[in-house]
Amino acid sequence: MNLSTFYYSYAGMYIAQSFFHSFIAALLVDAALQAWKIENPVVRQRFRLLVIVLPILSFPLYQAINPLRSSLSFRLDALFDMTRWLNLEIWRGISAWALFLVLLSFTTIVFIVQEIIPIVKHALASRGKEAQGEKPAADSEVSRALAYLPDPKPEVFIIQDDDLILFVTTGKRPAIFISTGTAGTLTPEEIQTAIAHEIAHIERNKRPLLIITFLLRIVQFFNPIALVEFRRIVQEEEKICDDIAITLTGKSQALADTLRKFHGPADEDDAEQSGTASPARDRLEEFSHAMIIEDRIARLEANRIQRHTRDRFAFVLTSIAILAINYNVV
Amino acid sequence: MRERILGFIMFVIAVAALIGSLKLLNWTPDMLQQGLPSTYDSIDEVKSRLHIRDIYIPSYYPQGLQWPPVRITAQTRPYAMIQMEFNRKEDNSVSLVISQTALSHPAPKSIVEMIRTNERVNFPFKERNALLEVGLCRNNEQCCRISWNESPYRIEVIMVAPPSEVVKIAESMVYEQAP
Repeated sequence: MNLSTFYYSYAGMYIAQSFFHSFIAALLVDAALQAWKIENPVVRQRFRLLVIVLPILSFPLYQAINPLRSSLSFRLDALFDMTRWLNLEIWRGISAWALFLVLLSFTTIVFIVQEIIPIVKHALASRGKEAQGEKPAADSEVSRALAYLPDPKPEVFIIQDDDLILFVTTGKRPAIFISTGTAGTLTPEEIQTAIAHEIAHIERNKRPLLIITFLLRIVQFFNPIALVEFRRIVQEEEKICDDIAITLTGKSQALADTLRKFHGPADEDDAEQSGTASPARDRLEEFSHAMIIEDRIARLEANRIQRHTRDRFAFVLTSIAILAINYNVV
Repeated sequence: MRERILGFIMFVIAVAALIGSLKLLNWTPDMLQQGLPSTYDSIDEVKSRLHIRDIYIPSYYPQGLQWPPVRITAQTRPYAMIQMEFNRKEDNSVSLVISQTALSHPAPKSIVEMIRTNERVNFPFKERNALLEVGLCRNNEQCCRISWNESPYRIEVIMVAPPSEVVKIAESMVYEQAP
């Protein structure tokens, strides 16, 4: 089967159009967030979901509305016909289509290596194992921090480890695990905000929006825009949990300090040890991660928390703009 | 309220800029390479601009059709293809589409599309083996398609009409092959 045959197949058109549709959706969503100065992470996350959800549905929806949308006549009158670019000859008979497929294949590999394999590994490693810990002593900093947080509280366990470790297990009986290293390093206020942040994750997981988004994202495994946008949605989730933690504790500076302690610069030995496999890639990932953390810290320090935003008009208008423009992108 | 109106104006400007950019991007490939799908005013223009020597056009047209074709689309990249659309006089809707596509490549989807095939038969004519299909197009109108290889092309004629008309058109497009 040659490339042109693949392109004119339903699968080929779906793959190419969903990529371009998500690209346009991402541009419009960013434009909307900028234009209306939307800072609330709950609202920002809702907007970013459009980039994941709409391109999954748009092609079959448009084809159902107008089956002749894939005809040559429609293409010629369209706002943007991607085949004009994909059919360009790049070098000695190699078309842009081939490069496009290389990009999609690369994204698929990244998706498998960075998102699927770690999940499978984690699931296999944690099968039958339960995180072990002890209940905190009644007069400990952790118990005192918990006392100030509203009910219902999840169970909290202390694990014996000098490293800075803090994580939650979700499911029927969610629990927070905090290492002795963390309890010893953080101040009581910082422990309180850190636990409040984890409680926020537990509460948010009761409505598994991220899991549903991830399942939708799997449908777009080949799409680099969906890959980036899903990570942005996860970053917004962290900001949402920051905001909930501040609502519970009222201590934004303490949470900023906690983040700084958890994600501060690694010491030289650690950097050398982790830098053996692929130093450039590791540094790039560390840099990118540091940028995200710095953004969260700056936001907390500036106390830029919006609790109420009327966004329905902007959301509806953005959705209509995405659907209308993408209808004319074939 | 003022901020929301300002936001609306900014968003409209962003949408307009995106539409403008898409139009520009749609036009740019024509500047970079020749032969991408485009519309032409006449068959002669296709021949002269794309250097396609053999273009199969019928010498027989049913009376109810308009001449010249309402749209001629052609390309040589990534493969040669010409498609002609003809309107029906009575309602100005496209009722005949003739496609000529390089062999082994798919014919682009035409505006006249058979959505249900009722009958499919081999139809030999002028020493060619054609495939004749009878079925329904959109609006439940009877339509027919005849297709055959005319090396190095595959020809496809689809029309909202009975088979006899489509066969006459096909027969008028080619000569008897030399012995």
